[in-house]
Amino acid sequence: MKCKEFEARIYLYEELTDSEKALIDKHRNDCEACNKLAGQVMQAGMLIKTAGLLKAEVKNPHQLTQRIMNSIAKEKEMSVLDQLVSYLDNFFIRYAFGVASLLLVLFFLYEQQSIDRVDSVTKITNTEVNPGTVLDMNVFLNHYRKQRVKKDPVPISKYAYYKSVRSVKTYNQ
Amino acid sequence: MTEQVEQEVIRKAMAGNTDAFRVIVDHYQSFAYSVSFRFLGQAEEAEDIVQESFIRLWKNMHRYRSEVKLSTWLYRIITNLCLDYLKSTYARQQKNLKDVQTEYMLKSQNAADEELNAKELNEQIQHAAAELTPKQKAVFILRDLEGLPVEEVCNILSMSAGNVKGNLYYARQHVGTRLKKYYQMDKITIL
Repeated sequence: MKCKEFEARIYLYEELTDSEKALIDKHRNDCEACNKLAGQVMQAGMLIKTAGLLKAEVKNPHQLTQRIMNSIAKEKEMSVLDQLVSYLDNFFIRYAFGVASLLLVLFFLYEQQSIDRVDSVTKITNTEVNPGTVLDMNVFLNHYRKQRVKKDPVPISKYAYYKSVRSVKTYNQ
Repeated sequence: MTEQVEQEVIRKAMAGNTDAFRVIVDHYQSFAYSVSFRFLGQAEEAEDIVQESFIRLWKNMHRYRSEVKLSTWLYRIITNLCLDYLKSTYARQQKNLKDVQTEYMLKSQNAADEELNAKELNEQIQHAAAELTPKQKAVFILRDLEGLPVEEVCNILSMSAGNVKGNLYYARQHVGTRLKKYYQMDKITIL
């Protein structure tokens, strides 16, 4: 084995097995350069170990403890909320909410068909009402009244038609 | 704190007892700070890492298994947080190597000159370690400065023994060269 190959092993001497250490020791006796390097590595290792004994200390340990405990208290409060939200993290509940909201949307659309639509409220607010003036309700109401007069009556639904036919039949009988 | 008492405290903390967790914080705080300070070299950042580490520990307390030492677990949390921090600031740190703070204190009350020498030594090691890559630095700190066995370092960093040794070799070579340059001629008596 050449010196170059010993170099890495010299740096990792502490991590070697006993047989590998013996091999290095033997080589050190034969090679001046490797022996010198091993000596330097050992000395540096001792200095590093000395530095390892020194520990940085917290300036104000009680303050830091309090800071940590305060954040944990906050985390604890958050975790209660998380628990509540976690109930929603269930497939059945999630799909049930999905279906319910879809039904609500359909119901809303169905209802909209039988209600007069008023879609130009913005026009009134933009054109007729100035900021700072006292609102006159007639400005709004007149607009709706005009629309109601203009619009054709809503066509009667099938259900209402059959109901009225049945009631007429009942009356005739 | 004996092992039995510690296990009892941990058991209570796992059940959500904050008073028990405070005991853990008090017990491990200085250790956590010392490790994160070795990584970051800045008091404020080290305190932030300590705080975040204990919050993570609290959140994951229910996952604790008694087969693993709490200190090992804490080492892993701190190391991961510090590595994330170092990776995000690595390029910037390379430019500001001269600004590394040294706020080490000797645990035992030694003589003033010894303390000065120790501070000087720490400063040199801190400077040399700051030039290493985050992984090399982590391996160097855990193995050489904290004195952990290779297996524990592998476990903490989730690295193979070969990988740890490879990083350790480069780290020791770099730090050794730096120390050799600094102490070689004028302070040969130390070597």
